Order: sequence, then C-alpha cells, then structure tokens
Amino acid sequence: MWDLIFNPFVTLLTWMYSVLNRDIVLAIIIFTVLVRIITYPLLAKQQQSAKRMQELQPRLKKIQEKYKDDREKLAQAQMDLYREAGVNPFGGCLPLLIQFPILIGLYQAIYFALSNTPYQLVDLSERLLIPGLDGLIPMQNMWLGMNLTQPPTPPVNPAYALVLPLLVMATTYVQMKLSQPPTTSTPSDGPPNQMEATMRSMTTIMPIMFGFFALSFSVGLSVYFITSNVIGIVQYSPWGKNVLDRLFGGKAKAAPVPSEDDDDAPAPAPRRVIAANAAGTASSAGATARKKKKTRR
Amino acid sequence: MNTRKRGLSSLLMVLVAVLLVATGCAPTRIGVSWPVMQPIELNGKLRVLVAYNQVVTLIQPHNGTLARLEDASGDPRTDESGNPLFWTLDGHQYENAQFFARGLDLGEALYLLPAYNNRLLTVDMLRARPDSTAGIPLPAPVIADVAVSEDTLYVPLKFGSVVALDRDTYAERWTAITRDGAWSAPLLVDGVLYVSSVDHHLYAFDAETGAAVWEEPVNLQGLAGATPLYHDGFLYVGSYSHHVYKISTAGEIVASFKANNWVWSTPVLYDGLLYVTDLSGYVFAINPEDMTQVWATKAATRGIRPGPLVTEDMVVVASRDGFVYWLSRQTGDVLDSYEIQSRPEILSDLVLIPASEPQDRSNPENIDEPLILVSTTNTAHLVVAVPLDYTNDNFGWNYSR
Repeated sequence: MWDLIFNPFVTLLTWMYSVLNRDIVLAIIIFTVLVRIITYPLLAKQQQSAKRMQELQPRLKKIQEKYKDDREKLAQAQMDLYREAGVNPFGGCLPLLIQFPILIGLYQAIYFALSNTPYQLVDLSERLLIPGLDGLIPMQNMWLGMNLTQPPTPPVNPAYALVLPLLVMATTYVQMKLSQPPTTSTPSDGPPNQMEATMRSMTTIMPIMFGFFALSFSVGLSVYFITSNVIGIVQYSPWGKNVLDRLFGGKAKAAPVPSEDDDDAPAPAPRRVIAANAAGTASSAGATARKKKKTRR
Repeated sequence: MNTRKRGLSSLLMVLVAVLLVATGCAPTRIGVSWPVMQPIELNGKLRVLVAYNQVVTLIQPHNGTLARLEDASGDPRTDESGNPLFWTLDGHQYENAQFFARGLDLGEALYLLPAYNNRLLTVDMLRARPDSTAGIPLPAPVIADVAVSEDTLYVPLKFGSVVALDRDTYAERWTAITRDGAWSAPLLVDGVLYVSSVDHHLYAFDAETGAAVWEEPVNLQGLAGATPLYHDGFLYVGSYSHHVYKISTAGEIVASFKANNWVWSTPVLYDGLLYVTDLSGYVFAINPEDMTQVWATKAATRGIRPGPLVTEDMVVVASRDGFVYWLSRQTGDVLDSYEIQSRPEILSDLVLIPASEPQDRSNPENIDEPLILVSTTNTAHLVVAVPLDYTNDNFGWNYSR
C-alpha cells in the first residue's frame, strides 16, 4: 500500500535530481518545498480547526464544570456547543490524516534516494516508474565536503557537519513557536488548559527529539528537516499565511464562535462575534484572537 | 489530576505520531548487504561458511546444524566444563566487524575474511579466532570477495578504489582509483584485473602495476554490481541500465542484450548459452555470440538478484518474493517452485552442494542427494536447504541464527 505513495515520490525526486544538474541537495529542497506548498490547504484547514477548538476551550471548561456529575448532559451540551459554533471536534483530524502519508512518502523518498549500500539500493529497482532514471543510481552523495548518506558525526563527516543538528533544533523550535495558536487563558483563569499545556511541552521536546534524529540519521535527512522547518516557519508567519491564502484563494467559511454567555441556551445569532471568523481566513482569525487578548489585558 | 493524565496521554500520542513521521512509519532498510555462503573443507570435512552482519558461522551441509570446533586432529574442542564448542566468530569482539564477503583460503587452516570495518581478518579456522583484532587495515570497508593471484591479493573497496596487497606480507603494492566503489569481486584474466564499479564503469588494470589498461573505462550506463564473466576473449557484464554487455578485452562494447530491469548478477555460461536474471523477476537465455534472446521467462513476482544456478536440465533461481523456482533449461518453462516459510527476501547467491561421492549411508555426514542452499535476510531462515531435484518432496533443513 505504501508503495503507491513512495514510488511516485521516489521517481519524482530522482527525476528532479536529473533535471537539476544532479544536485541532490537542490532536488531535496525543491521537492520538499513543492510537497509542502501542495499540502498547504490541508495544513491551513487543520490549523483553522485547531484554532476554533482553542477558542471554544473556555466555554468547554465551563460546561465540563457545570455537568461534571452528568456525563450524558455534558456530552449533549458539548455537541450543542460544537453545532452552534459550526465546529467539528474531529475536523482537524482528516487533513492531518491526509498529510501524514504524504509526509511519510516525502521522508521515505529522500531516504531511498540517499541509499548507498547494496541492501538499500536493491529496493529502488522496483520504485522508479520512469524508464531511464536507473542510470542516475546511485545519486551523488557529497555536498560541501559532507557525505549526505552518513550521520553528521565525525569521523564519517567533518566536525562542521554538527551545525546541522543545531540548525534542525533551532528551526524546529521557531516553527513550533509560530505554529502555536494564541493562548485563550490568562493567568487569572487558573492553570492552562490541556491543549495549551501539551503545546508548551511539545515546543520543548520536539526540537530536542529532532536534534537527536538529525544526529543519528544521515546528513541528507537533516537537509530535509531544515528545509521542511523553514517552509513551516514561512507558512506559519503572518506574511507567509497571507501569501499562501491568496495563492490558494483560502477564504474558508466558518461560523462565528458563540459567546461565553450562551451555554444554557445556544442562540442562533450570537451576541459577540469574533470578527476574524467573519472574515473567514485562518490567518486573520489568529491575528484577531491575538488582538482580542491584548484588549482584555 | 484527570486533566493532567489526559494531557500526558495526548502528549504521548503526539510524540508517537512525530516518531512515526520521522522514522518513516514503514520498513526502512538500514542494513549493508546480504548473507554469503561458501562451501569449504576443514579437517577433510565439508562445511559451509555463512557470513552475515556481525557473525560468521560454519554449518554442516548434511543437516544445517552448527559445526563443532575441532582441533587439527579432528577432536572436538570443549570449554572448561567439558561442553563442546561450536564454530562461531562474533564480530562484536573484533571492533564490531561485519562480514558480507566470502573468505579466502590461505592454506594451513587460515582464511582471510574481508570485514566492513575497514580491515581484513586472518582467521584461524581451527580456533574460530582472528590472529589479531586489528587485522590488516584498509582505507575503506569491504563488501565483496577478494581476488587473488599467486602473489597478490586484490581487495575491492566500497569507496573508490581497489588495493593490491602482497599475499605474504600484506604490504600495499598499488592502489587503483575508481570514481566510486567496487561492490563485487574483481576478475583476474591474463594479467589484467577487471573491476565493475558503482560509478557505472568497467575498469581494466594491469595486475602487476595497477596501471589502467584501457584509455577510458567502459561506460555501462548504470551501476555495475557484479563481477564480469570472461568467455572466449570477451567479458559479459550486467548493469542497472537493464543491459548485459559483451565487451572485448580491448575495452569496446561489441553487443548488448536488453533485460527488463537491473541486472545485478554475473551471467552464467552453460553449454554455449548465457543465463541471466534481472530485478523484474525474469530469467533469460542468451546467445553469447550476438547477444540475442533464446528464451525469456517471467519466473518470479519480484526481482531476482542472485545469478541462476544452471544444471544440465534445469535453471534454478531464487527471488525477493521468497520462492525458489526451477525452470527447464531448454525452454525456460517454470517446472516447479518452493516457498520458503514466511517468504523472506532472497538476495544471496545460491550454492549447490553435491551428493557425497561415494555414497556412504553409515557416515552420519553423508549427503544423500544434491542440495541447493538458499540464504535469506531473515535470520529465522538464514539458510534453507532444498533438494536440487524438484520432484523430490523431502524438505532439506533450515538453519536459523
């Protein structure tokens, strides 16, 4: 089943390698950029869904508090709230699920392309779908004095290759920071909600994890991680979001989030509407939420 | 507390997801190469040396069990408690040496084993121990067999060169540079060393001096992963370009045959025909004169990496699909197939073990009938023996590590 994704990806990457003057690093960078741009609408949808769920958190907290002894009513009230806000609690899952195999395919394509042992290469014989690409195997694996197929640690690579894991960590951190939706709770609201706490932990753990991966995996994969993170940083930055939203015509329709006073009787027309949701784009929703919080302070 | 637990579980789920993405969520190949098998004679007994990853073992070809360690007089060696010792060499004890190539018989129960950790180990076969941990240092790993002449060893390196060493002193005689590594044994013919290279070329070096014999190496348009075959003044070599080339000793491509996928094995010549396998699962019989096809058969559902084993009536091949196939040598028709349990990937060359001659049923090591040894990348079926005669339903044996 995975071959349906891997094989076209490996073929495309190999083809790009051939048209880009056999520069595997350039091929990895452009290939990653292309895949990330193509999957951007899915990412935007997922972000939007996550943001709207985030905005509902204070209300959900209240409902949970109110119906803590009655599970049935709690579930009903939660569903009512979701329906009223036009939010599907699993709405972020589908785009995520679609992105997953694509990202895995991307990763694997790079992994296969950097094969440099007989055991790794034998698999490529069944993966290249365009005749004539076989003559490119094995691909050039030296870049700036580094062997792309080896980990960045000496002696298999020069000491300066260790900069790459550091770059992976730094870019992962920045991307994580930028990807976090603005917090909805203030210190006076008590401890941060579950989602916020999770996000905070991830911002610390993920860069370390990816730094560790970059140390153990090949230099070529570090190039991929860094490229992917830089694209993520651009995608999550307000400027990048605007450009990409315009590029994809991303005017997602979203129902306004109901006000906090409507728990008991969800009204068809909410009294307080977050202007950003009326505007409709994921990016403007985030920007407005930030603005709103500032006003509160 | 509840919220905290849920938070932790969410975090765990996210981490697992990240891990799945980062590791590819699908089988990745992190190995180097596949196992090799080599029939050898030790103390007058037939044994099969099996080298794969960090372990080399000797097994008994009649039943697939580990061979006992014996001294020069054939007496079993035992540990302090009197328990018999078995023939195993663990590379972990020798600076994590890994083994993917056959050994070279140096005589007097000494074998030279090429290792992936940039060295050659001289192994005392009566002790299953190298004479030194350091071995003979090399500038790069070795994953292919060493070629030998009367006084010189020719070592193909995984990266960029072939090194010639004095057979007695192991002193370097010369180094011939190739643009990329050699993943197959060099071929020595009439004082010329032919080297198939990962850099898509076939090189010819003067075996004495290491000087290039041809003005330019022959471009094979794809990786050349197997040793060429020499026959009647011509070299036959396959490549990833889907071709088998017929090359004159002057370095000219005379003719070629187009297969359907990569050709990663040495063609086999039998009774005037070449037999070739490819990684689309095809087996071809080719006329070596003009490289025209005599027959072609899609035998396997996946690629066939090892070369065929050819007998008077049959062509036997083994595939990545985990099957062994018997084909008619005359027509190429598939006569029978045998499924290795759990269908492990077969990438190693097949080995034919002939029946004991003369037959001696009273000898417990007697081999009643010819066996084909198949090695897989699954250590639960590292070596499987099946009868050469496909009409015989007797299962041979299975050696697992």
